[in-house]
Amino acid sequence: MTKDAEPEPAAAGGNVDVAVIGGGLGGLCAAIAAAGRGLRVVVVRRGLGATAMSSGGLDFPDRLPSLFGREDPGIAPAEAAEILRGWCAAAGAELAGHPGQPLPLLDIAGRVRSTNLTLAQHAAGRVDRWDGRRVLFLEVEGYAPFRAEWVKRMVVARGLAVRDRVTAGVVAVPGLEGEANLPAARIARALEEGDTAMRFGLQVAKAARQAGAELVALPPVLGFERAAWVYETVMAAIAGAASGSGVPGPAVTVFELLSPPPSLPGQRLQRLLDGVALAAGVEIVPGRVVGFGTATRATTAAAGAPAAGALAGADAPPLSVTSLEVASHGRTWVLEADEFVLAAGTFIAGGLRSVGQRVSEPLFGLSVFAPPPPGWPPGEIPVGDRPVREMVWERFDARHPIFEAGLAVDRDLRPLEASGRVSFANLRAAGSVIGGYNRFADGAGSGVAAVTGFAAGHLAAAAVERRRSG
Amino acid sequence: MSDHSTDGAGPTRGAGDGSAVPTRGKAAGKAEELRRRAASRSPGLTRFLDIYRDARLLPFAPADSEIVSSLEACLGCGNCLPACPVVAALADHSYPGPRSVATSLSRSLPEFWTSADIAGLCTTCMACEEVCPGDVPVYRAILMMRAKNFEQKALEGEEPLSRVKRLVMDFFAGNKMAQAARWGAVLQGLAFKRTADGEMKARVPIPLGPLGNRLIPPLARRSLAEEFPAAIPGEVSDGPKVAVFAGCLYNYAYTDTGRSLIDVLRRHCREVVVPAGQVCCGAPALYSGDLPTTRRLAAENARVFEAAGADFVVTACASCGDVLSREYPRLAQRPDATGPAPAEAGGEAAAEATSEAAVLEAAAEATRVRDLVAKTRDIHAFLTGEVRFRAPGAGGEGTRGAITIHDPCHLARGQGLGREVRQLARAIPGVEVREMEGAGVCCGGAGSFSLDHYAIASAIRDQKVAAIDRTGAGTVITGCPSCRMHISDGLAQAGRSRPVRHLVDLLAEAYAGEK
Repeated sequence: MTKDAEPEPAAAGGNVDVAVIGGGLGGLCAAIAAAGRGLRVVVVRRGLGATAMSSGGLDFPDRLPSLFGREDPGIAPAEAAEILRGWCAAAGAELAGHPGQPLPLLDIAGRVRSTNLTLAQHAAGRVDRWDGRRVLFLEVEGYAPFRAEWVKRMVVARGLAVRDRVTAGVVAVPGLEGEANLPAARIARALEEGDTAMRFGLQVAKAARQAGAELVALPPVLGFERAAWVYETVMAAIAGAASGSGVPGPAVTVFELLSPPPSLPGQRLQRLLDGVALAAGVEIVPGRVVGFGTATRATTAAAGAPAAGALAGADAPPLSVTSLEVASHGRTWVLEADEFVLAAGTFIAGGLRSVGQRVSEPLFGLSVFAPPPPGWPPGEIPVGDRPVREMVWERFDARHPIFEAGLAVDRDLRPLEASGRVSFANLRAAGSVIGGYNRFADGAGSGVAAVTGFAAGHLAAAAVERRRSG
Repeated sequence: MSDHSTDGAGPTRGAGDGSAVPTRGKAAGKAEELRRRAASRSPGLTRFLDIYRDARLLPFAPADSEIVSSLEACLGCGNCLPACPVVAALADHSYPGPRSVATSLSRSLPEFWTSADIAGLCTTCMACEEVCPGDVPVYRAILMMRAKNFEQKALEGEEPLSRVKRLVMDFFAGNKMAQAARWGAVLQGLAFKRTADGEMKARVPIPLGPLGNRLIPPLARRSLAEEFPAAIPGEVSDGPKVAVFAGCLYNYAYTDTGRSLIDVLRRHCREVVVPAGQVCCGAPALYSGDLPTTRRLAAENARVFEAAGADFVVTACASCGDVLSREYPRLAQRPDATGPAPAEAGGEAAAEATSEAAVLEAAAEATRVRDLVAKTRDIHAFLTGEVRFRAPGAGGEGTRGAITIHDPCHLARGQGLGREVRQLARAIPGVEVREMEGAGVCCGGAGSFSLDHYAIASAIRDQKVAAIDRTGAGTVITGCPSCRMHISDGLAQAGRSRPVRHLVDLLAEAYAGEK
């Protein structure tokens, strides 16, 4: 290119400071942390990132579980939670709840999910604060997955409320009357147009008045990109209807249920994070990593690369990753970077793979570790010593050790080999690809992702900065 | 077996079971011919078709099976639903979305004839594949369903395409394109009038369904290939020799952009040619499921461009580039049950000799197609990747201003070219790029899709027109002539007319305006 051309765009092949593999909560926290220090960051991810597939609740402990190879998280979960809360606030949304404090919420199937952080419109429905108020479960015409009558019965059967304090009803979104089987996003976007949300709110107010309800449970369809605005508008319509009717009645609060995938609450969180990342200058590229290049970085190691401490006892400097081969949009291109963060998730997202009796890490061939079997001395063991069939119990809801399998990392979050040696000098891991805690049973997934994400992003950025100044 | 099509809307059955379903004589004859050809190629295939004809089942090629089995990777996460422009635009639930395509095909034996309507509603924008965590090939599945439907209907002696689509398809993919276009240009002047922004609008509303009130491109009196019969010398003596793949819309309608393309290429190359005899890339046929026609066009283009002997084949059309570089290699993967038959008469020796010749010719053809695929570049990729791009010098800045860029699906998602467009745009003095919201969201035009589904195409476009308008930019840039046609029409109908152009138009102007 000519004189004042911009730097080569990454997706055309090119060079950045930090390349992040995976764009869920862990990968984006890493990317945003590094971009916030003025570095060029690219995220390569398959699909949207795992946050889009969550129910909309963030499991966030106040103390992190211990991770393989590493006890000290480096950044407190409460600190990470406050950063996320700030991002939400900047996007006009309110993140409610606190790390480690239980937040029991209902989902559209009538199950109680205990989580810790979520957007305000979900948190308003926490089942431990119903306090005997009358609850109306309101079905939305055209949204098939939520059946109000059924959830009402589940709530009574589970002892969350007595029979005469719960009712069920149906409401239609203006313009979508008589529809069947609409995707949640279709309804959500209809509510963002014109005065639809206001008119919908008036109908909800009417239904609440007729049922004498103080709490109204709706499925999570109240807006997509402008969800906070739709929720406020519906609440304002209800307040307006109450003051305009002249009939004194109880104040009505609307809340949204959580949802298993396809989950609008999860997709909203993902979009919110994407927005923060894009605003920070992070480039997000949809694609798959299909290969990588390495080199021994003798010069950089000599210049004081952050290898020294972790490498005590190793006789040769470890390899550095130099580039990723990325397959996207029907072609394969090479992305060069100084530092790499692996936040590719586990079995569904592709960060770990289970084939036959082996669990492996498919992108870099890193060593995967498993918890020791009963009777063994504590400490992680190479996954090859414990076949998959020994790590899965017959009971579906048991605490399966396979969900604790993952990478072990050093103080700098760099994956370790079975010998204790660092795998690559400039590759760090973040999120659920790191093993040591049970991703399903421990209720800590989002917390681990955010904390290790921030830590990996800052460590990678610091390494780049050191190399530059050195 | 009972007749499925009691309401008359479903597919009618073939004549093979002796039932009294009427079929048109010509079409039935064609079906018989296809069966006869299939028989001469493979007795096993004939037996399959004979046994399973009533069940409307077609044999699977390995490539088909691969698509169907990879659909099982669908997690049901629903990421694709908010991403789908058709789901967003349809008020009713007549299109269940990409997820349903994946789940229904992967969890039951595919009966393609039941899915023709649904498969037809996809704009092939690929937005679903981009957000899919399971790499589910929804786009591939849709194209396969359309191909299967086409094959099915052809074997049953039915016309697989709607009337308006057949008309346009014959025009584009037919052999008499050049003559048709010339006559079309004359006739078009009688029926249509030119609007201020250079497009055409019907003088009186035409009872031609969706074409009635649409703004359509003016047909050129002379095609681009006719304008440039001889090689055009370039300015860079050690640069490459480039053959232009014009594409139908730039060759016969938007020849202004065709001329800009040649001018820009001329400034970066040793020599530019527009090979005569090039035909449609096959996109309309391919997206309608007509693989035999696509294959014929691919072979013809490969012959023409082999003869041109250029280092690169460059196109300014997003769809042509996508089809040439990504779809031509796949055509070979699906054996064609209805392909040309080997010679019949002449005894065994002659048949053997003929089949040997046919095998050799097929191999030569495959090599030619591979060669064309390897040489094909979209103009944006060519300028940023294959030559040393010379940015236009100062001059004429005042005549330019703000532009906004619409990313065509088959350029941005198909070929991964989006940043290159912006890189080039920012190199033009006096141009300010104002990004619109959802620049990569499908405009709804989707080539021949809008012929059959103009209402849906327009509903999708409403968002695009509003997003363009919000930028306040005076010019819309897009690397696809079909997007240009659809967006121009939308802007005009909304009373928001402004030029919709290709980046090479701006580049050519900037070069011409250099001090």
